[in-house]
Amino acid sequence: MPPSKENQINPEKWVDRYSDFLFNYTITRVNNRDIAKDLISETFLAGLKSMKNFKGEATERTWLVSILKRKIIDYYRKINSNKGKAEVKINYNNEGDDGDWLEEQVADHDDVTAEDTLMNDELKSTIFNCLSSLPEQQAKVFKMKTIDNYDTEVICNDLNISPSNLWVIIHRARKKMADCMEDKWL
Amino acid sequence: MSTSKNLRHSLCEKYGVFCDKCQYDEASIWEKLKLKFHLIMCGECRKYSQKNTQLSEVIKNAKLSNLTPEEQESFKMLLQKQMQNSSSKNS
Repeated sequence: MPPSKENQINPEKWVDRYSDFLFNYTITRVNNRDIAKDLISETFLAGLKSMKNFKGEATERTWLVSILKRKIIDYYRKINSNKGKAEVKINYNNEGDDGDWLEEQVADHDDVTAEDTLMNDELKSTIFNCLSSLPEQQAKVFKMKTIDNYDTEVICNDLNISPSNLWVIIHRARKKMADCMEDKWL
Repeated sequence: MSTSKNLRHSLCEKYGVFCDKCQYDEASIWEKLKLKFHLIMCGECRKYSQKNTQLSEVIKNAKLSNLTPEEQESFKMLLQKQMQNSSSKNS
C-alpha cells in the first residue's frame, strides 16, 4: 500500500524539519552532544535504508523517533556490554545500621527529576509541534532569535532582511506560537 | 466600522512588535513607554502581552539546545551522499 499523502517520506527535508527535535530528544537521554549527533546520523541512515518499509501509518517524525529510540537502546546495551556487566554495588557503610540499609540506600531519590524530565519532554515536543505548524521562514527566524539567541543584526545579514521586517516576522511567529501553545500547554 | 477595526488591528500589530522587542530586551525606552500607555487602554494588547511573556518563560524552561547550522549541514551532506550512493547502486 503506498503511503498516504500526508505521511510521505521526504529525506531531503529531514534535517530541516526534524533534526532539532531529534537532537533535543536524544540529548536529554544520553547527555552528550557528540553521542547524540552520532545517534541521529545513524537514525537518518537507517531511515534511508528502510524507507521502503514505511507504510505511512504514522507521521514521518514518529517513525524517525521510533528508529532513534532503538538506536539509543542499542547504545546503552553496547556500553553496558563493554563494561562486561552491569554492576550493582551496595556498600555497607555503618556496621551498626543492619536491617535499615535496604530502604535507606535504595530509596529512589530521582523521582522528582524523572517527572521533571517527562514534563520537559512533553513541553519540548509541544514546542516543536507548534514550530512545525509555522511557515518555514517564520519558524527559521523564530528559532534563530529565540532558541539560538542570535543577534538581530546577524539574522538580518544572514537572511538578507531588514530589522523591521525581522520584527514583523517574529511578531507573526510569536502570535501563532502563543496561540498554539495556549491550546496545548499554557 | 470596518476601517476603525483595521486601524485598531494595525495599531495592535505595531505595539505587538514593541512587546516582542521587550521579550528580547531590545525595545528602546521610548518604545517601552509607548507600549505601557497603550496597554492601559487596550485589552487586546494586554492579553497578547501576557501570553507573550508566558511563551518566553515556557521556552526558557524547556532549555532547548539546538544544532548549529554547521552541524545541520554535515547531516545534510551525509544524507545526500548516502542517497547518491544508493541511487547509483540501483541504476
